Amino acid sequence: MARIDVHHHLVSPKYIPQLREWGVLTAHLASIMNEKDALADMDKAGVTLAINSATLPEQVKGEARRAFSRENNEYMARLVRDYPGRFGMFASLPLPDVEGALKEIEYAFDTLNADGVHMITSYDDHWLGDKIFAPVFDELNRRKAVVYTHPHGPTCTCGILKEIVIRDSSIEYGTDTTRALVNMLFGGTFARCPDIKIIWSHGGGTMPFLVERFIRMGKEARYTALMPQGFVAEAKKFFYDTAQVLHGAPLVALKHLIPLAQICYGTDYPWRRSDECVNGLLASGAFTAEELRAIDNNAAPLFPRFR
Amino acid sequence: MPRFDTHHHMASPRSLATLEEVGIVTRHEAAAMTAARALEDMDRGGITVAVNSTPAPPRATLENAALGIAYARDNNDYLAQLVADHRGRFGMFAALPMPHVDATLKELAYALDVLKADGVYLMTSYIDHWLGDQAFAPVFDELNRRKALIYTHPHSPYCCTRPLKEIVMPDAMIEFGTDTTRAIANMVLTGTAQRCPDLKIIWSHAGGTMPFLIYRFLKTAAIPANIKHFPQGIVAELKKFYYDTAQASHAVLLTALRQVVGLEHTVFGSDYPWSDSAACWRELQDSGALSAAEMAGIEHRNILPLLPRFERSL
Repeated sequence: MARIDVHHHLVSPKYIPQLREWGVLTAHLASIMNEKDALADMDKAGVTLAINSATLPEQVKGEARRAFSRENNEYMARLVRDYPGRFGMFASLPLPDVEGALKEIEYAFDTLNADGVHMITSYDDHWLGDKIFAPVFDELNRRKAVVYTHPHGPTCTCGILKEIVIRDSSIEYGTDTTRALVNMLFGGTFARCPDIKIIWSHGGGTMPFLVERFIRMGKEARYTALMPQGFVAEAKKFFYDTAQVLHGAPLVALKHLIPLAQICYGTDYPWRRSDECVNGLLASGAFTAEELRAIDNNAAPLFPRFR
Repeated sequence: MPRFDTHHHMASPRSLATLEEVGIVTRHEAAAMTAARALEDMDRGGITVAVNSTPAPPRATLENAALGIAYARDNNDYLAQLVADHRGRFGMFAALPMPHVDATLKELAYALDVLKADGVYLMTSYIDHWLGDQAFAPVFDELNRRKALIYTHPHSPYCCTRPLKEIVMPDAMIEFGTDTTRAIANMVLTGTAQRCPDLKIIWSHAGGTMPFLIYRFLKTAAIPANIKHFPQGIVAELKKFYYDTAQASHAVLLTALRQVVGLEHTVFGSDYPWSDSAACWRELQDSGALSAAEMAGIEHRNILPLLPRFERSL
């Protein structure tokens, strides 16, 4: 049986010391962020295929983004070759450098045969769907590309709760996904680029819990042309992964809104072990055994080379 | 049976003029914020009692203590007048001149002792300091000593005002819910909730986005530095809070909220004048998510023990 993990992070060994230095990785995470440990983790949880994406720390700025993307794309492509059928890749892009991103898209798809691209939900407080990214989305649409998205703590909220021990991933990440999703839909980019297949991380951020607001907003005259069937009909065109939402409350909410076929298995390795995801999905009580088997393999149509 | 609405906005005529000027309320909304219009809406929605609170004050009012004090006092006297003029129909959550702590302590004493307010209204954050912040400790300690009821409301925090510049969308859509979530996290993770166990806190809009992010909350509570705050686990702490249904009557939200904290502390809120109470109540009924017993709890049973003046009069 296939089990495909769409939310799986590896970075080139060249960057591990730097990520340690920046505090992005603990010593433990740094020690397991390599293909050998990843494969062992996958095997333990029955993950047959993981689509890798590199984490993109805020600290990579300017020109360094091009080098970071290229190095990680070469590394991920090597993993695809070295472990046939076990790894795919979402290419890193040096955004918000649009020109660099267009070059990297061409290289990643045409030379490295990437399975899709990896985008952060916002870059320098410009969210996905922003006009400045239009050439990138148009090109990805032309290629009918898979776009895997990952949130972060945008500059406006980075480390904002100063008195408590909490990571930006707890509140700010989910919110940033919602901002990006809403910007893509209400800003019109998704209507213009309907052939892009977008995966939103972490069950859609916080969108499902705020859906009542968006349903109402979608009925405003200025938006009905973008979503003639309403907000939910558009939200149903996206894919959503299960990383870090292993609880009945978010999963039942997601299942209520989104067709099962678009809910994809995702672990967040190395931040979470793959077996935590398998067990957490089961323990949530949100899905039948049959539905869980479907979730394992729902991403398959997105990655034709592994069929 | 009596029906209570704890998420109901009114303001003094003088404040309404200011709020309209800075764009916090439209002319249309300001026109609806009179006792006569509010009572009409309540009658249509079967609301027995609405507990009033003001909209968020303008930024200048937050930043300037004198303006904040005047805004709070003017509104509190007005809200108390509504309580007196329409017996059994209105309650009040007193406005406070936060983040100015000394002035806030004075105003809350006046509001609770002289005006007999039912509780106080706090915003989820003040100039990027969230509820539970050390700077506000004297306020929470005093409210705890009084076993006060605190109604909270989110707003556009300074960090995140209109971040999405290319689309037409009020911050209420995403940023409000998030700010409630930050305030909840800050209240429990600073240990303020645990230190002030007699506070009764209502979080607006079904807890912001907290219920959807519950897995993150569970993981955060398990960080060694945080374990001490949760002898019974973080869910036990979250269950002590109250949650209202304003802009939160979709089955997806209600089902998630129930799964995280149960519905024993869920209370009805309309968000008047941004919403009408008849439609709110109907949406709850039509959600298909609630049993008759849960509806009765939301309607009055869950809130009544917190509003003793109405418990006696009904």
